[in-house]
Amino acid sequence: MKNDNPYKVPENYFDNLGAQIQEKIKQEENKFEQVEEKRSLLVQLKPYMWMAASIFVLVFAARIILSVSISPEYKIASFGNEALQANAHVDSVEAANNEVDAQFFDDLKDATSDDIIDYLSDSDIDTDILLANL
Amino acid sequence: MINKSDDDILEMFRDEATKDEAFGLLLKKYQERLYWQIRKIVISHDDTDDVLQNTCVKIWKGLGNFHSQSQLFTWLYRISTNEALSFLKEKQRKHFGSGNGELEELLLASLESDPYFDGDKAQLELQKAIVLLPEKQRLVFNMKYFDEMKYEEISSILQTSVGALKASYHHAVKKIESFLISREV
Repeated sequence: MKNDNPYKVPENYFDNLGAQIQEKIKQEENKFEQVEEKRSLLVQLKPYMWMAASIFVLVFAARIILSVSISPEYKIASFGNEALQANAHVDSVEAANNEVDAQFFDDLKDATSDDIIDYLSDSDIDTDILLANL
Repeated sequence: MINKSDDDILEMFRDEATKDEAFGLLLKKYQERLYWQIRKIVISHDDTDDVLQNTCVKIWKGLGNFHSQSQLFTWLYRISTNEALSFLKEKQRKHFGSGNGELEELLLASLESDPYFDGDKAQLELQKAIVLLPEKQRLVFNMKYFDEMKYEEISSILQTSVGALKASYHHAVKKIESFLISREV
């Protein structure tokens, strides 16, 4: 038996083969360049993406830390203190007013009849309040 | 121009200005031999065309890093052989999925339906016998019988010892003889 090659190829197949292969190589290179472009864009954006992610994590962490440190108990306690402070302020004002009133009536004991008549003749005086305190 | 040596072509390829021209020369010099090497493995012309184009893309990508420790043709032959074998494995996987379908079935089908087979009945039977050989024996038989390559060359392409290649070829010849006798060729 002859060891001839029994296979054949389409007519002029080898004439165009080189050009076809070089065309395919160009296509492959274009694909490779496109992938490289995408990759380089990602590489360029990477630091900004990291920065955005870091800021997000920091903000998130800060929110968690603040929500833990300002707990509801702390908020109630601080509100109670404020209420007590307000009450104390009202008490101190009332005490001051009482002191002024006591001083007024002490001074009144030493007044003469003429002082009283002059005082009563002043039209701005509310006689009802005065009579109630006699 | 086509008579340039492999070293000249490689030197031209490493220069960006002459890279395309060098690759064109390389293709003209070796495309037919690579085609036939692949064709004898995958059988069908259309499959061979696909595998050859992929092989050439790989050669283009790797040629810049090729160093002349081995012959250029040996390196090209090795790439095309590996590419063809990978193609067959992929084809087998696609065709049979994870089952244990026989590659020989696919190759026989390709052989019988190939419009570009020009042999007589005896040659068709010979090709069937070759297709039924184990992979290594098939490669060795094709290289030795059809391409008339020396064992040393086959050894550097398939990276197998000369002794093992001789044994493979011997077994292949015996199996083919038995097959042809059984078919009364």
